[in-house]
Amino acid sequence: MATPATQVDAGRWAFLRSQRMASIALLLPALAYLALMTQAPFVLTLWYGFHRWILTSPELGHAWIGLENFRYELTQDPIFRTAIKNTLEITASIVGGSLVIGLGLALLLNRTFPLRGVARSLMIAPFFVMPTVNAVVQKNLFLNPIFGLVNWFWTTLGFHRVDWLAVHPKFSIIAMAVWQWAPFMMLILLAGLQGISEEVREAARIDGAGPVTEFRRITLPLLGPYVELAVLLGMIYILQLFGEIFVATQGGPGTETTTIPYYVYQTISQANDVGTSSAQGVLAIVFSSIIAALLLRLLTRTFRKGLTA
Amino acid sequence: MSAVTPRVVVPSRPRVRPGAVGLNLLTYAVAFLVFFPVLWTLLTAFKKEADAAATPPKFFFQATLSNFSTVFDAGYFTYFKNTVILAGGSTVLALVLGLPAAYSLAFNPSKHTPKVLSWVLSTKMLPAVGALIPLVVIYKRVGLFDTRLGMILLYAAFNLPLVIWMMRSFFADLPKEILEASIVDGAGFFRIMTRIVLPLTAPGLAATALLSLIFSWNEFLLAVNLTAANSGTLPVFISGFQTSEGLFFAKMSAASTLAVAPVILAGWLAQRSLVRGLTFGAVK
Amino acid sequence: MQVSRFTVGLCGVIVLSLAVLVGVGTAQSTARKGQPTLTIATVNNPDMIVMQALSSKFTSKYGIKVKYVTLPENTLRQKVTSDVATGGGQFDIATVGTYDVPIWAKNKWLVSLQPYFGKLSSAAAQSYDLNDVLPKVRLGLSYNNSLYAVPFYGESSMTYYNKKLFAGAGLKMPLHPTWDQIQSFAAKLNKSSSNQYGICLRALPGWGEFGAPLTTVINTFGGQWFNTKWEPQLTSAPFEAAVNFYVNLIRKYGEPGATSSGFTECETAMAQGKTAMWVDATVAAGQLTDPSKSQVAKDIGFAYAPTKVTPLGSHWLWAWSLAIEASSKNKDAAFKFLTWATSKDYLKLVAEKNGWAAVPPGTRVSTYKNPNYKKAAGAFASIVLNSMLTADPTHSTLHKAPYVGVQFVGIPEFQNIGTLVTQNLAGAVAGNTSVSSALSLSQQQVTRIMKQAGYLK
Repeated sequence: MATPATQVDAGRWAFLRSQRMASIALLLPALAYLALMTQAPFVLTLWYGFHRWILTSPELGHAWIGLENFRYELTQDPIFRTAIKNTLEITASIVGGSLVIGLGLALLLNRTFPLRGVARSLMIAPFFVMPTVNAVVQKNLFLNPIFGLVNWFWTTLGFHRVDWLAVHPKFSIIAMAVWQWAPFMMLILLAGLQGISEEVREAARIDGAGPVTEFRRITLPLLGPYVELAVLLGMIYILQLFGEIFVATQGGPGTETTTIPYYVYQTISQANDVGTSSAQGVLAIVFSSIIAALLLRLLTRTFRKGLTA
Repeated sequence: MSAVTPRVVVPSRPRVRPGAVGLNLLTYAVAFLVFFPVLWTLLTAFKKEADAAATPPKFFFQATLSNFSTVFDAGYFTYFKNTVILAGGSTVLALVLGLPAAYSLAFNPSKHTPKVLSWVLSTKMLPAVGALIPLVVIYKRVGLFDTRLGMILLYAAFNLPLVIWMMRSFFADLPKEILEASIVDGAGFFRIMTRIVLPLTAPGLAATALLSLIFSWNEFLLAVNLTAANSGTLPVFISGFQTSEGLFFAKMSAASTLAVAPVILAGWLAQRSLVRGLTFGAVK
Repeated sequence: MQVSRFTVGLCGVIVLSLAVLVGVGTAQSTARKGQPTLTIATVNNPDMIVMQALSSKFTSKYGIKVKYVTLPENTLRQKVTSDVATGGGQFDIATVGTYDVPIWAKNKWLVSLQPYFGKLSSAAAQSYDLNDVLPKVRLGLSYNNSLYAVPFYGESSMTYYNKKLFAGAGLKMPLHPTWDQIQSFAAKLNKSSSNQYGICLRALPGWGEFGAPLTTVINTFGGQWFNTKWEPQLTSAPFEAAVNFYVNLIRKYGEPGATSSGFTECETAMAQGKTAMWVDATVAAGQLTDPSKSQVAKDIGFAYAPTKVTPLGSHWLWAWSLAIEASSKNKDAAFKFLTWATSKDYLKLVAEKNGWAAVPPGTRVSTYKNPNYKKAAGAFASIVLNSMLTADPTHSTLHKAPYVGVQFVGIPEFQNIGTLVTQNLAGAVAGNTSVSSALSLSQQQVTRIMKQAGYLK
């Protein structure tokens, strides 16, 4: 008589095999769809990158020029190098800034107090605003040196009028984007904070830990995985930041706020140069992939370490 | 009393600390400060153009509804309808494709899983600006240019990585015993999903859906280039108020308010699910 | 129970998605046959807004429906360029400027209007009166002696000043000022500590923003962008002198935030009495004298655009115009719209609705002969007309130039060149770099672009 265990085992084996087939069947539609929708444009972009094509000068034709566009961008174009540097600076600052502010907001909200729901709603609102709208409002109503609210406030405090977008363009862009992304970070971190069980904090308090020590020794380490998730997700989106720069500074003054996405846009919309902008786009993928790969390796290492329950 | 201790950590409420009034006031102040630009835009929407650009800034002014009527006259409802269809349709499509994929990656991981996840994420690395002309060319060739269907398909492809990544995390955090029991019982994918997995991760699902909705709702660059008279969205509509020869702040504020309001309302309603959803371990 | 509630929710989602897809499906249904619909790409300038509001009159007269796609100028240009360069098909009519028309006509993206005008009955041709349209504007909209677009409204540039501030300082603005005079006025009227500035000038990067007034200053100082061999002249003496003058004028006596100041920002500053002078497009005149839009409506004075060494190219020429795309399937209907929106009857229509001061300016000589218009526009009408009659795109520099265009260079590369150079110069306005280093960097970049495009060997 076959033991129930062996029967279950045999059943489980067959089931697992069909499970594997079934699981591939579940995965395939999404992957196929993604491949079709994203790889087709990518292949065509790469194809254009090997050609010269200026939209407004069709008489110059569609000549094949091989790696010329790529070579120029990587070795000779000074603006592309500046764009890489700016992208790194601005992205890191926005991610860092919104993380810190988001953490502050989350800490403030991680208590019970009257009108807590209202406060939370108000603090989330910036994330829902369209980036281009945010930029128009900030540029014209807030940062404008003659009419803006910020300068009105600043001069009332006794300081000189400051032309924020001209004198501190990077800072202005970073500030605008941080305002938008801090709520995103806040939500993730708040979830993490609320996951810290009360017993652990109680134990720490009994041991005599003050609020600062509790924060450093308990809160921050337990928040680690949440911080890393927020950073990864946020970075993927913030690397592509475009709307704010497009509206508020147009990459300037000079090339102060020209990032890679903005430079690609400039190349296609201003120079009408399809070949070069396609090459820049492909190089941007390489650049982002490197950064993401580094970040991912850092994160998965920590993820696998995990938390002992 | 049950001998089984719950594996899921229920978020506990922090105690009210004594002497917290100062902290409360600080919180209110910070919330107001953070919300202020949105509030100022809302106020500006009710001003006349001359007042909108006044220095010193006018806090008290004569309100007018003319900006809103201009916005409605300019075709707001058509663009609103398009945006709802696009954002809603692409989110639904991304979920329909992404949920099974997340299920597969979470419950049947293999040695390929990290590679698959990396590849999925990598599809978001190409800046949309770089693929502008290719997309225009392709879409014109297949007849999807300036169609709602075309935009839905595109936005779904953008949101699919988000859905896969987030939902996979939520699924992977579910206690294994419940699943194994039903698998041995012979339940198939569909029944497991609808009876067990989705109900348990409903808050996470709401969070993912909301994020996907927001990103589709606010997308500007591709919408401008791939739509014309038939499928324009609200971001395109709002940018149309910008002019290089004339004042437009008040009108644009009105258009922005009307464009942002539905999303904020949806967000506020889904907010509780959002926080709870992200709590249920988008993190291992 | 939770499960059944969830099943209900799931059914709801399925129903919703079906509804969405149905909504998508029905939206793609083809338009009713017989009634062509024109799709027009346009900018959101005040005169265009009026045109959109009045389109219903066009539809009721001809039975042709009209749809608009409204975008900011640069976005519109980028989008329409991408469209026409990849085969077109999206728009019947494009709103284009005097810069775009000759280039697009050369690329065969627009259709020549001569045959359509030729087919008009003599009665229709007489009532439209093509010769009434300002000759220099028609010149700017032609290629190979063929007209490719009709102007919707036209503008030149002139000087605005605040009469009250001038009187208060005991100054008088001549009708034809020189730039040196403007500079001394600005010095005397600049009170930055009280948020009052001597002059507002555009320095917002962009070939059509900063580039436009800057080029007129370069022209009037005797400089030019390229010599007859297409060699860039950015480091030549008159060019550098002009740029230095402009940049220093702003830095010393001009508005803060200059690098964010385009037409709108300076207009706002002028309308709020924050600046004593402003040199810019003539279309602002109507808005500055409108009490509902301007706080200094009664104090605005007008003068011609300033000159230095030569009056050539000292004031610009621009016309937003309507053109028919080569890929349009409704060319005849489009031509009907073009002629309707630029006809004398249309001007009367606008006057009935909004008064004569709101009529699209700078297109027809007859507008300026009309007594009603002269009464409403009065003080600035003659300056505008004379400016537009004397701004010659084929003859706007002291020495011969190989290009057309007053405040721009009519080659496709100028969109890039002008924006690049003004971006570099904006750095100088903001004080991050010196004018001479910005100009030498620009000279290098422009030379490379011209070589790549085949103008230089």
